[in-house]
Amino acid sequence: MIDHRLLIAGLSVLLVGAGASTVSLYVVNRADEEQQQARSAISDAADDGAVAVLSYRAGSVDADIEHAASFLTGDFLNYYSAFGAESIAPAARDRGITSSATVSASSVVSSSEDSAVALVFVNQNITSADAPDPKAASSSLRIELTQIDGRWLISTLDPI
Amino acid sequence: MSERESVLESASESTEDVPDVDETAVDKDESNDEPRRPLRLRRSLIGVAVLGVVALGASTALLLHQHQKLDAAQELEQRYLQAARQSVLDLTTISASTVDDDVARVLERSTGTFRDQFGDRADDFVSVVQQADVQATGSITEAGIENADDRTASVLVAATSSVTNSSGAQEEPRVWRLRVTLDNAGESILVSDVEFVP
Repeated sequence: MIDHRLLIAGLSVLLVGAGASTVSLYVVNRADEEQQQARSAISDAADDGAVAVLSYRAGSVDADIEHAASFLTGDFLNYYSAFGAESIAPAARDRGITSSATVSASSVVSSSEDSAVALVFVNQNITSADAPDPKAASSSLRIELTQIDGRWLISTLDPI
Repeated sequence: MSERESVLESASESTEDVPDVDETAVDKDESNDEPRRPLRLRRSLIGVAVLGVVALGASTALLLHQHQKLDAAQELEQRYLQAARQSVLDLTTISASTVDDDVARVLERSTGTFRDQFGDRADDFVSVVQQADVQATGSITEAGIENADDRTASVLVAATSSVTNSSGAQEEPRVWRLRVTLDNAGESILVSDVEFVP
């Protein structure tokens, strides 16, 4: 009888312990896996956002800026919206500027559950009414992203 | 003692007929049965519990193995990043007075075609650096993983270097966009390719 009770008590402790460790490991592993799988989502968001911010046409600059803003969040969204309306749009219209950007390579510097940093190499071609021959510029961008409602958005974009 | 005897006596007095004997017989049977049923129940409970512990133990072991693999993958990524940063520093920090050591350091940390190509050109490289009295100091701006698995990785590195040489450059800043390809050689991470990203 006493042996049985001890056995049952021991087994109960083992069951609870094994159950707890299984559940906690499962949860931790899920989070780690999701973080690793997030890399392509982070890269895509950084690439698409960078291309949108650096690409516009004189004829559609307002819509282009609005489109780019949909990839952004926080302070950078505020900054870009103001800068777009005050500088990019008038300059594009007045001087017939068209800019088109492409990503030549993209990488993830670091990532956690809901924030990440990407390093993106971008090439940009700019033409204007005065200078119809494309002027090429290449840059490296350090892009910080935040995950909001399951979507990665750009919160900082710095040429480095 | 006397109290107990009297209680027993009074009990035997009150149960001095046949049906009462039958009752005690039934009672005896029940009292024999009662520990048996819970015993069976207990045994099957213990069986289930043992199975449960074994199953959970096995899944914990599996998950632990998976966890270690994921941890190792994250640690390996940090080593890839560190190795890529170091290799770009090695390639951009060159001085005429230490160029032999500088080249040896690059070769030590490289493998495959990159090592062969760099080794083939090392003599020319050394003489150019010495003739031009080059002083170059590199610094890493940022580095990120382009892709990585447990054998190889490709890392993007944004770097700058400040170059001084006898043909007039005075701490002239240069900007680099590089892709470093790395091999996991177990103990160390080796560079198998370095290319400019257009």
